[in-house]
Amino acid sequence: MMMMKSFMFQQQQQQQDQENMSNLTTSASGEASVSSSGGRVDQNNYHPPPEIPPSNQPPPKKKRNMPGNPDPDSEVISLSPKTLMATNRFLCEICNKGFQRDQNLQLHRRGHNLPWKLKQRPKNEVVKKKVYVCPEPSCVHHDPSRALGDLTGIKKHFSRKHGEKKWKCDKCSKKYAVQSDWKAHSKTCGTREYRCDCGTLFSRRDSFITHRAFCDALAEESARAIPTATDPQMILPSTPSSSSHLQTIPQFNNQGTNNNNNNFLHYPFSSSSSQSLKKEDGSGSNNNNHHMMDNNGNFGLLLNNGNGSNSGSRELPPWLASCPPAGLRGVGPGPLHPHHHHNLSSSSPSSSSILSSNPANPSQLGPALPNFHPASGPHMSATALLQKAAQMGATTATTPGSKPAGLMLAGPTYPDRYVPNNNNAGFGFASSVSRDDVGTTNNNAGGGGGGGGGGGLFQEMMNYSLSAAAAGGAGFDDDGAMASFEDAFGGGGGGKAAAAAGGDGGGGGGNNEEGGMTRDFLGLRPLTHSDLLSLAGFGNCMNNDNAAEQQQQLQQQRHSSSSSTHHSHESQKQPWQGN
Amino acid sequence: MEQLLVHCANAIQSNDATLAQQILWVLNNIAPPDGDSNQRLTCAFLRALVARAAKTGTCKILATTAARYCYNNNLLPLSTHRFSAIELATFVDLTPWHRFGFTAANAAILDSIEGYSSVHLVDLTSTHCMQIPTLIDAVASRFESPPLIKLTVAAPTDSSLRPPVLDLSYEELGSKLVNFARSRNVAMEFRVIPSTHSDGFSTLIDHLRIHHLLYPEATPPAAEALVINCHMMLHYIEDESTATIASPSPRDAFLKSIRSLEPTVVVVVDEDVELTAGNLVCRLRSAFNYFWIPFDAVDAFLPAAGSKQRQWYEAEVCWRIENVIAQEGMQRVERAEGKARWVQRMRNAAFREAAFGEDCVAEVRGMLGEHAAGWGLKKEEEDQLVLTWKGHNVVFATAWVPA
Repeated sequence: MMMMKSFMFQQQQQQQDQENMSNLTTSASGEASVSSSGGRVDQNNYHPPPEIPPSNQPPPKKKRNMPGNPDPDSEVISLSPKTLMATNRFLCEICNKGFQRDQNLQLHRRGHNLPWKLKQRPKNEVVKKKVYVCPEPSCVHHDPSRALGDLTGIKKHFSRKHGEKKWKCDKCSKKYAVQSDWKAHSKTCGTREYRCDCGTLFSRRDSFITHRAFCDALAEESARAIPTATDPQMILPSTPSSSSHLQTIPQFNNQGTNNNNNNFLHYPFSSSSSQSLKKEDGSGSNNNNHHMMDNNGNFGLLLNNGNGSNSGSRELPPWLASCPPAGLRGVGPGPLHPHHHHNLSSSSPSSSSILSSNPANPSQLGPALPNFHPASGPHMSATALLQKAAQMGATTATTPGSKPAGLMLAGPTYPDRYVPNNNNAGFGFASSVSRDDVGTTNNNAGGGGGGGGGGGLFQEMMNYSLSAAAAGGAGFDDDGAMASFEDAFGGGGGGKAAAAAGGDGGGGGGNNEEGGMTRDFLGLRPLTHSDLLSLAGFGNCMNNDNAAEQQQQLQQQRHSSSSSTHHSHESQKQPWQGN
Repeated sequence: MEQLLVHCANAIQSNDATLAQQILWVLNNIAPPDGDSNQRLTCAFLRALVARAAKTGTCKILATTAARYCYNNNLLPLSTHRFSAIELATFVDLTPWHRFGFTAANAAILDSIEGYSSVHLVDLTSTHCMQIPTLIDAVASRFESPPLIKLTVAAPTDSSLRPPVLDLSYEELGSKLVNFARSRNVAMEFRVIPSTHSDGFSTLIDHLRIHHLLYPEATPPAAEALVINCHMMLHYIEDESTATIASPSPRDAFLKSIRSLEPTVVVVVDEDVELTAGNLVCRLRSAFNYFWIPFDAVDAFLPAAGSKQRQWYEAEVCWRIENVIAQEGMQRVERAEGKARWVQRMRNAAFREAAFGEDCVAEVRGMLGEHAAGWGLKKEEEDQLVLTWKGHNVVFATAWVPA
């Protein structure tokens, strides 16, 4: 503390004469004025030099006594409070002017043009170390054996202990008697106490906590956290103290644009799942998973790989993530997805979304890609689809016409077969278009990027959507096209998904190019990667040779698809309005 | 200045366009939008009056004046800034206006959820869950095995949102909260129910009821605590002044429904001002004698006139003033009642007050001490905490348990 330091420091100077002492005093305290009990006294015209940190010591190191334990043969000076607090103790003998410090006095004396002899201090002036006692009788420093070595020190002490506190900090309400204390406090008061990872400083804990909760820095941190295995558990509120925030509470992991998920609450994902809706227990979800698995062959595999790659990536295509089969629950980012069961449909007919504090979830919750929420199959959102398709498109673009086996996309690693859940939705659409063979061939062709399987279906979806679009008029009307989609997909979130898939289908279709063969549905060439990306609003994409051609051909479709995409986006923003 | 405003209001009410215009002109000259706190306050009222006049029948001529006025004074339409979560976090802490309520509420909530393994927290606040992080933190530090917190929020569905307006969706907000809770080892769920004050939050109530029906084992007082945290939100529910025959008192009805859910604790924090009078002049007087406080307080901590935060802050106050003065009927949503009336309502709804502990009071005082010097704390009637600015009541905080 400064107080002690100044005392100790000053005590060091015992052997030096008063002049030095005052120098050091000044430098140590840097104080300009002392408030006296009688009232504020103006500062002298002496301006203290910049504060020298107490660690600066004059070359000959002085022996320091313990504060309050003075050198035995020093002269004890006892001043009355008035004298102690007096500001003008150094008097000029010529004009009787008073000064607070000896230095000032000396400076002033020079101005009198004294004969040189008198200029100097008497050489034989015995310099005896002076110590001071506190005038307050009840004080411990009143006793000469506990005198303090420094005049300024004793002054400060007297003010602090026995004086009136005239200085108040305006930030907090602390009061001080000594100005230097007050200054020192104001410097640190609330200036620097809490620091968030993002670098912001807070003086108050509550504002720090509130900030921290919403700070992106926190999101980053948890994104890096390794997700732990979770157990499928019931989501019943009566679940006793759960150990955890690790409960896998199958729910929609809603964020931003995934709100459309809510709208699909009514649309059973599959017949079995609707029953499992009520209680989202593990078995229920497992049912879902199995259901999906049945139709989906490698879905489990998919999920695994998809999961595996998910931890760091934010580009998780929605269908990758949804209801993982039980076995996969424990897998890494497994917890990410599971919550994609339908919400407690019991709770409310309209949308309510529940987020669980699942460890891996947050990793996906970056602000960047709102869509990447693992959603159950049919509930994938348009943007997610587009992004996925973009990646698939990227696959195509990079190896046009070649078997993109094991091709890694910029984004997540896709498993071999990437089949959107829509496949499983087992609806009229799937069955009618159930080109398993198509799916298969696509899969083989699609290989790595996992675009294959998806591609096939995409094409189908695209076709369907395009035709529906044509039927419903350009610009998918929520009512028109959506309705037809819903029918087709059993309503399983098909609406937007399909609309987007329509666009994506192009990409998927592109993927299927093997040796340059493109499938031609309804006389339409599928959208290429570039088409798709421009559709999706993505910037630069690799151009295919066919790009221009296809672009022209697909102008029309693009318009309808893009307007549908817009619709999907819009509707995503307003989750509460039934779509 | 208040007198002038009153005269002006009278003039508008009586369709005296000329007089109104004259007074407005005078006010315009003596109350620049960048003057001292009193002037800015008057300016806000002036603006509101102009807006009102522009709507009134024969005062249409004032519409042009209004336009000119705004143009002359460089007054942009009160564009509501959309806050990001971080911005809102700092904004809310500019003054103890909200933090006071947060701190008191959190203390009361913490006391009441002792021993429960699961807490269903219904957050009805105008500040978009800004209270929650500190609550989570408090829960984490107080309980060794913190309960599961199920946070339910009522998301506004109106387009006319009252500031502060969030830039992100509730889902994103919720996910951040859940994330944060996890980092503190507190299990948390987040749920958004679209519900709005215009129907007395009936959707929310229904949701809560259904929830209880479906999970009877979770119904309090069995295993789950039900906490209803109302912060500056209740005053949006219609009161008797807009009552219809069908629902004579939506506020009382709301409180009754809440009571029927057997909550563990209900925290009511609101502003201590009467803005429900049908008479414009009365309302104006009340409002004038209340809204000077934020203008005055902002001077104490945000001296920079051009600072963004100050603009947002004052814009919010202006929005509210305009709503009180210029809007009528369903649009006028700012219908604060004083503490006395709210207390009465709660008592009528079979609640009794729960005291705030001494720790709570000390904590609130400490918090206030960290803000500018004018804020104070009053304890009224033993159980009610009131935030004061220079001695005037600003916000009151009360906690209620079923009687």
